[in-house]
Amino acid sequence: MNCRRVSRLTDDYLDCLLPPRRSARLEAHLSACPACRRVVQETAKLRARLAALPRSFAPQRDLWDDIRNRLPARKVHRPHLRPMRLRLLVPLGAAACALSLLLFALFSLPPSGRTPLAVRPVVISADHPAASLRDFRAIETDYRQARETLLSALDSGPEGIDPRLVELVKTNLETIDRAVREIESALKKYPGEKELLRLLAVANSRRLDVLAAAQKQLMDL
Amino acid sequence: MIYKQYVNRIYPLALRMSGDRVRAEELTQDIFVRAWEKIGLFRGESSFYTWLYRLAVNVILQSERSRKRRSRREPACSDPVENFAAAGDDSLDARIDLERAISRLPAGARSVLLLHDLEGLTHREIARLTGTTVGACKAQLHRARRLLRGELER
Repeated sequence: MNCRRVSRLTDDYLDCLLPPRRSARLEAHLSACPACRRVVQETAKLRARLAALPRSFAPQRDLWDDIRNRLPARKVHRPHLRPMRLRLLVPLGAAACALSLLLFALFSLPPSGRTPLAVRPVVISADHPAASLRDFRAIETDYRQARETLLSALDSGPEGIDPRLVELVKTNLETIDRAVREIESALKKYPGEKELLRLLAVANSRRLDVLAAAQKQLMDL
Repeated sequence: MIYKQYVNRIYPLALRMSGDRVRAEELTQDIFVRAWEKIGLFRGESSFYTWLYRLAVNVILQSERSRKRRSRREPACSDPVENFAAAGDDSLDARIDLERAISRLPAGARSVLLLHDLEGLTHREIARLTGTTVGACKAQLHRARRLLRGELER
């Protein structure tokens, strides 16, 4: 193996990508060639220095404000809206905003697959609007009872419960309930509107998630 | 919050790959805005950081490519080393020299060097991200290491 060949194989050698026999031949050359040995040693040192560089540090200024200012301007695919549907924008927008506000807060709650207390699961389908609404209204009483029970349990301040969690649960539930009221009111104007039913399904699922997370916290105490 | 959790990992990547502090701030903003737009595509098949990291590399490489088309290697308008100095280390001078030498490498060689030697990606992964071949990627790494050794020997 000559110096030119060694130079071409140095990187693969240092990255352990050479087959053993070729590595052995390269090492044999290195033991006899101080110039190539020096290059390999320096490259190895360089790799070690690069690997030791810090991978985590903050920018000199907080970039979040700039990022936040750019977020509303993001491109979102919007289907063509028929004129009649334009009237839906206000209730839909309000409800969607309320729901989207929950995203970050909900992520901080521990996940739970359980259905809270005695709230029966309900399937809301845009294909069966009348049946879905009937089922949804039927669980409202269960939901309110579960909500009251959990909130009073949280309010009694059991030992070990984080007050921030109590506040988070309350804020989330209030926001979702407000969204549900807005969706229901919009559904009275536009019965069977699929987008509203979809939002109702999301809202229902979210509030059950919040209750389940709160319930899990209480049970884990 | 996603920004707070990941900015300290994404910004150094943008800073080193762009070689310019102001540019790195713009790229970091672009990355988080893009992540916000594409969050629906995250399927949980990898960790969130892996997903964000790949998105970040794509944003940086795309942006650097279009910037290169606009003008041949614009001079850096701010010294990237200002930032590195704040990160604290025993051999600060040596590290500053190294960071400065990296920032002087040609963009293609710098990207491959950083992705391979600092970020630990394989040649295959880098080739996929940069849209080149494994052979081209190895050649860029060889060139980057050679140039860097030369720069540090000065």
